[in-house]
Amino acid sequence: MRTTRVLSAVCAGIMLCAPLSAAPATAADNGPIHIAVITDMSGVYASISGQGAVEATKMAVEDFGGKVLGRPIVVDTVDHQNSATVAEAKAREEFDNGAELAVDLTNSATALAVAGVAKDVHKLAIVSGGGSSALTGASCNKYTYHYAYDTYALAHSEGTSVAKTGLKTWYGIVPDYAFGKSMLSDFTDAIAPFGATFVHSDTMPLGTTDFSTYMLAAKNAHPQVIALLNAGADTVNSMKAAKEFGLDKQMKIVVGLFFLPQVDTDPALWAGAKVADSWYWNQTPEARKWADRYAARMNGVRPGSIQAADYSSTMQWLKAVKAVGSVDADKVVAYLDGRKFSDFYAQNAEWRGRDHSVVHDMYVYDILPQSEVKEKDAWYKLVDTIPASQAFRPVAQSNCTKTW
Amino acid sequence: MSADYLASQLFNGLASGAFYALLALGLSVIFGTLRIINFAHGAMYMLGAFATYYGVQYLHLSFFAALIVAPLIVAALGMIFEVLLLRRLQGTDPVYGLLFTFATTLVVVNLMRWVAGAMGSPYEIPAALSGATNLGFTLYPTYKLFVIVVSIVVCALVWWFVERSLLGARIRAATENPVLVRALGIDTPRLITLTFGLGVAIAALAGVLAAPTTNVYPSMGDDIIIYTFAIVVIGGLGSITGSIVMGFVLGVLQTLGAVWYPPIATTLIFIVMVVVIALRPSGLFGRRESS
Amino acid sequence: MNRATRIAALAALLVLLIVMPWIGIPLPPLFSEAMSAPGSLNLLALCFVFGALALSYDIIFGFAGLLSFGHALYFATGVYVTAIALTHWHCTLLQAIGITIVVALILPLVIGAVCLRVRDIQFAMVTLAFAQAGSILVMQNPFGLTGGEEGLALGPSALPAALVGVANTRNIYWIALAFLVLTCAIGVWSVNSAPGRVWQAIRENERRVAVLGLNPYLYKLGAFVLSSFLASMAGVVYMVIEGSASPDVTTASFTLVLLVMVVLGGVGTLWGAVLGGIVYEYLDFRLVVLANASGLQSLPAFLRVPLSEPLFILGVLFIILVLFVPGGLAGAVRRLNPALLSSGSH
Repeated sequence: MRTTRVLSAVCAGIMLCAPLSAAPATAADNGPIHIAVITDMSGVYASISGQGAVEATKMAVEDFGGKVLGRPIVVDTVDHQNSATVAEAKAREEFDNGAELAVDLTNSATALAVAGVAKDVHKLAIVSGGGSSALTGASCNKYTYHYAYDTYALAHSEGTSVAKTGLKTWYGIVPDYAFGKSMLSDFTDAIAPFGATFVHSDTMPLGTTDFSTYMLAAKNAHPQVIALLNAGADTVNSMKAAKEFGLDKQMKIVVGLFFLPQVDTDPALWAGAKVADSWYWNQTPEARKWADRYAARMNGVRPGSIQAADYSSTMQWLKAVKAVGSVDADKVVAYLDGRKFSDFYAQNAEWRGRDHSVVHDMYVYDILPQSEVKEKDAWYKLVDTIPASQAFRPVAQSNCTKTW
Repeated sequence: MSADYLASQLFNGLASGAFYALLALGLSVIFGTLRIINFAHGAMYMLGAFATYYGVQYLHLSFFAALIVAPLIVAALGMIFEVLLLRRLQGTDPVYGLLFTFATTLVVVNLMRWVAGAMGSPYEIPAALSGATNLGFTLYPTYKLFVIVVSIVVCALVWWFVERSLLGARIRAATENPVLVRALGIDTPRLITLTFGLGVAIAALAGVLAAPTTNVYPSMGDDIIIYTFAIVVIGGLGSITGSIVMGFVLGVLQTLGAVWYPPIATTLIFIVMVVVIALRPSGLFGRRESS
Repeated sequence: MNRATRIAALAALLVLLIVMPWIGIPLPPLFSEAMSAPGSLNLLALCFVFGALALSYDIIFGFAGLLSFGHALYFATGVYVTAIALTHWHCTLLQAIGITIVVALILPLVIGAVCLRVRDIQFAMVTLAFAQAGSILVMQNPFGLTGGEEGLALGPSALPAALVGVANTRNIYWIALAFLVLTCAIGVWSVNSAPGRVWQAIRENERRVAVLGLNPYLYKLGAFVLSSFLASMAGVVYMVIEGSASPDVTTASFTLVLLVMVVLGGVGTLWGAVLGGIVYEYLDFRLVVLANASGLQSLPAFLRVPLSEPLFILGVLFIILVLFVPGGLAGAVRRLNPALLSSGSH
């Protein structure tokens, strides 16, 4: 009978194939070590991370010699398309296929998703792109470090820097989701010691495209500072509306989350705004030297802070692997926790063992008008340096439940 | 809250209503003749904004030239699309038209992501329209006033064309009884193509007007188009008058809602829609259901 | 093929899928690893869930003829209610599923009762409005329950130990497979039941059904609740696979993805919808990997870049399907193999 024939054929097939599963295909210990750059390759964050992040990571590998523990190092590019679901699945696949480290992780939702995978599989994730404080707070874990910046550090750097100049009345433009709310509360805390407060803040729902209403309301309230605590296209749209209503002539505009490559899209729009970041390519001769090497590989485009952080963190990890003689994440974590360092990217940095936040000095910049810019991408003027101890959340306030 | 302040916010409402009205009008014109809900309308709006950007950047068009040229280019693309592809769906379930235009949106938006990148492209308000105008009670951005005026003029012209002109009468007749109209020697397919082009051109015009005040990016049509669908349903599917009136009315309502309680801004239109549909399923200006 | 052979072939396929975790067939380039590897099993499990989800959508869209733009809401209900019960209320998995079942029955009953007052495009718009409201609610993170745009990640002890960790991927895989089989059974049974036949009659001509003395509203509501409920259950399984809840699943574009799945498979054929869901999820996942494959890297940029945009490819595929293969995959198979047409209706 055909039925039985089909069944027996299938069973035979199973028997034939069964022995194969006895030898699981784990990467041999002398095979290549993979580093996965998990990021947005073509979406909204591609310019601040994307190909530049991959290139920076490759530079670190090349500068290190291309090999560690006698094994070649391969950099994998993983496009998460800004979906946490995709990021999680891809990260799992990468770690299954020999990746020992995941870096970049731009956009908080994908960073948190990959952090969860890292925790599951006991491999390391070092986040430079995502900014959620939850990475070192409620969602902290042994196998995830937060390297470049978080919302707390941005708010405290920028809030302190602006509030100490005596500007007391603030007005908040806040998107109605977790990022906006945590930015607002962090800013509120940061400016309070200087007697400054938010006189009002407008919470606008996701999908708001017309910011005129809120800008007119802000203008009417006559604050000294307006803080745009949104991200991406929302920041652009609210900045355009702010300028249309002439807010820039009446008050200081503070942008909560901003990256250098964004200036290029519309220099006239951003001139005069104040931003915080973890690094700027022209702030020290060392930084500049690295940035010029990067630019030579990237058609002359200077790097942003996330890309520099990817280089720095990869280099730090490779050094740690070499020092402990193993890629084993537990050994690497034991080595890194509590270690202090400085490099071209991070000044006075520490791999904080308590919550896996990598703390370092933060900076506040003014964005220059085009007339004052002397060379390509030189948009920033450094106005303030905030020491690591003041910029990042103090250990005493950490809400990370340390389980390691 | 002073009266001046509220009056300025009223103008803000009219300015955002100007976009809703144009987009809803285009949707209605297309639905009226093709019986297709054009999901790609947001993509056409986006293409209008990009056409302006590229025209100014590479062809050194003035903004005012772009106001004419960009809609014509996008409309031409739209008509090619209608003749080559959309026409094949005639006679199938209307759902297929919706699905098909949705697929087109996916293709166009992702193609533009590749061409232009996902990040916005800069485009400044033209010098002649920058600055503020004294309205007597307050200074108000000149460009926003310009948008309101252009939108009202275009809406009035299209309304007159469809509802009052001879060609408009033919289009309406062609929709209701294509066989009879063809028997009278009128080229129905060409009429349909031209009407589709008109609807697309209006969407593209909205895109041109939006270009200087928003970030120009490939998915810029995604958010606004969902509100526009809701507005069209509130006004009555296929009703030109309903689309125009409700576009402006809901723009104002949404803005005043945002002044009163910001978190409600994006939900307000949907709340109005659910209420309207519960009370009058055919929409405020729609004819009672005939099917 | 006669009925017995078809059943035998299905049974054989099922047996093969059940024993999959023990067989190490390598299928490059379809899968990057052996079929027994956790990565492949995880992908297959996701495919199964989406197959079941597409089937649930086909019940309401393909059989009852109701174009809902809000199906994502019910999937998200399953994902979020379970995740919230597990993380915030510290329920066991079974308790969490119990709570989800209650919510998953009441919510579509209430919303369906309102939405079904209108039909066609208006119905689509109202369901979309409710789904948008749900999406906004999730993003706003009410009472800190949903985690806003960051979503919710399950703690280490939220799920039973047998469902946690790479080594247990096969358990999750079997759950997803069992769920798909169960959903298929419910789907086939329901569309062939008496109410199922009324749905199809409503789809063809609602007035005639009313003339026969039946109340179309109640039958449509029944289809709406069943379809939404199955979607919520798919959400539960999805949440168990992912170990987290992400707001991605609440968006309108997620509903549109479901539409693509059903049209891809063939509207109004259950097995087509299942196939559509599986194929879509697979392509969505693998296209990017394939786009990064070395063969493609050597292509010139104008070919390579669009090919690495999965949404672009899906859009093109979708256009081709709507224009040239209106019956979807199921229709294409039928045309190639007319023998299938003669046997059975679905």
